[in-house]
Amino acid sequence: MSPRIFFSALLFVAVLSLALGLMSGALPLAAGDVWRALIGQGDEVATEVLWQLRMPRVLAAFICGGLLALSGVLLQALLRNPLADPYILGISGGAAVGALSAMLLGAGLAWVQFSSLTGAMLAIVAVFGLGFRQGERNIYRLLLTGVVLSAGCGAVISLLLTLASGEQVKGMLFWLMGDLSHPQGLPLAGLILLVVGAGGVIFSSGLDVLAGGLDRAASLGIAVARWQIALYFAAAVLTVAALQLGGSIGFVGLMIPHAVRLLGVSAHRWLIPLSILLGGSFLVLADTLARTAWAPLQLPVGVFTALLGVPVLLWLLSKRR
Amino acid sequence: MINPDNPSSREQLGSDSINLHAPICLSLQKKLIESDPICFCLTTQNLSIAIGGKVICRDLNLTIQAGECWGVLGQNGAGKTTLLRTLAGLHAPQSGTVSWHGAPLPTYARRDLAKNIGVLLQSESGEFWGNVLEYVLLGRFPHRTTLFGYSAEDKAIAQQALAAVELSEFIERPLNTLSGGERQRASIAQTLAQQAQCYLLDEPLQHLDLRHQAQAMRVFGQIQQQGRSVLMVLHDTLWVQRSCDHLLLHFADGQVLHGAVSDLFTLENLEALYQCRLRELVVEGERCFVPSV
Repeated sequence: MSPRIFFSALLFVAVLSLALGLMSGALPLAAGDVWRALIGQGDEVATEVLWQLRMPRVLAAFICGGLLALSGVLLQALLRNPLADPYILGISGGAAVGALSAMLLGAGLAWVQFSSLTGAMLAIVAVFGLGFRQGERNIYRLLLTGVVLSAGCGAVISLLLTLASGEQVKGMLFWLMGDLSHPQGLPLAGLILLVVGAGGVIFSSGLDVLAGGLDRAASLGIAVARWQIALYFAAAVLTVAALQLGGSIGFVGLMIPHAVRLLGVSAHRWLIPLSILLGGSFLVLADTLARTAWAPLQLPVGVFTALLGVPVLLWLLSKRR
Repeated sequence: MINPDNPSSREQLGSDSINLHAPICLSLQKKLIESDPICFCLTTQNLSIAIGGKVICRDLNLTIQAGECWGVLGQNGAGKTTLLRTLAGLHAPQSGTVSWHGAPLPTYARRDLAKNIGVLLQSESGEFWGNVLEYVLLGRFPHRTTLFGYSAEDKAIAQQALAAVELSEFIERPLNTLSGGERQRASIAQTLAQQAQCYLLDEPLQHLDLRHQAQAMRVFGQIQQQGRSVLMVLHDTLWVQRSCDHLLLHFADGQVLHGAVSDLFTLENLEALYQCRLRELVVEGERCFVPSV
């Protein structure tokens, strides 16, 4: 498929998914109601619901999906590994340990957020400090350091879950499986997505070169270590922003870039915008389902990203030559 | 102005070799040739190389002139790849320097170096998801003039390079669906697309069948005729005899012998190099060496 057609189709899908997200909920709104509320001519209830409840949530889902997908693209380029996702370097593990510890101590939402942010920062610094070596011909040390730290965090998370009371465990599980009902720092996250996304497209030729091999990239004029450091911290910032919006939502960062590649686009110039659009739309749909499927019960969005994504990806994989 | 020892290569340089492909460095090369004709080449000064605590080369003083074709022979593990990576500026020497145009490699911006020195490494293309044309276009990265993607001229050069290794029909194929030999040819095409002045090739013939070995060596021969230089690690002595004018023998103990093929390409040298008994075959005036049974 030509990338331009692909891009137009995904723009359409994105608008559609956002509209669907705005229309669905405890108070269903028709497309016309949404439109009138958007341009300021709707009735009071519809306007209130749209601007106060749905818009922040739908936007948070879209931005979070875009952040995760972009982070996945950058990490797969950095680590040269198809299994890389935003959580592979232990950032979400650190954030989860921070968040769950605060929850266990009975801290309020703000402290939980702060504590998870601190945990994520510590993980980023620790993995980079222990795992990054300039001039190494492969990047396995960084990858393995991240995986090991993630495993360690996993053990601590199990411990914290065991120590927690029944009511606390439910909140913890929601955090762990992703929950977009309390997005933090939405405008900042949107700005980060725009800036890093644009930067990624501007430097896309260099990302393609890196994907062709580290020594080769160096011999083609890429300052490899500088690129690796930039990619690592860009991906880390994206991941932290996504974690602040929705906790650790699985599957999006790993699979969206692969889905775009399986549809025939692998040059980063297109891979980046297409992954952002597909990741954003996908998470909006998953979140809409999560809050409406068993309404009034809200389900963790991570359940739906996997339930929706796994069959589609398996189908794409089996179709491939 | 002109080095009396090597007038032919100098003249070639002045005339047709440079303006062929690298207009950007033309002025620089002209300037350097005018100021010091002896330095237009890749040289090493007292170069010592170590990797993993093992010294693989001591006090090497090498001069690779434009228009020369060098063969590198040596046992597995002697350090040929590390030597080549050091010459390319990818591995820091233990002591001594590698110079291009008389200036040490680290004084160049990476991208300027990449316009002049092309490196073919042993299969490294692991996680490249794109198609063959996109892979070969990476060779145009140092010459890129547009911010996004590549110009029509870059694409034409990449397609020429693909035609040179008979891969024109594979342009749309994902790189990771290619066979080992086809992938090697794609890597060669990528390096050719770089249009460098000096090529350092690590086992360029690996995985290639006889027809494509000959094809690849023809292409390298053309590069040499254009006044550019080639250094390649080989294991087949036939190609040393046929295509190279200079030879570098890399011994397992870190000793290096280098000079004209006519001086070094002897049974005694190669038996010492490979530490095994060899037989010399001469067919229609061509010499090569095979292990004796």
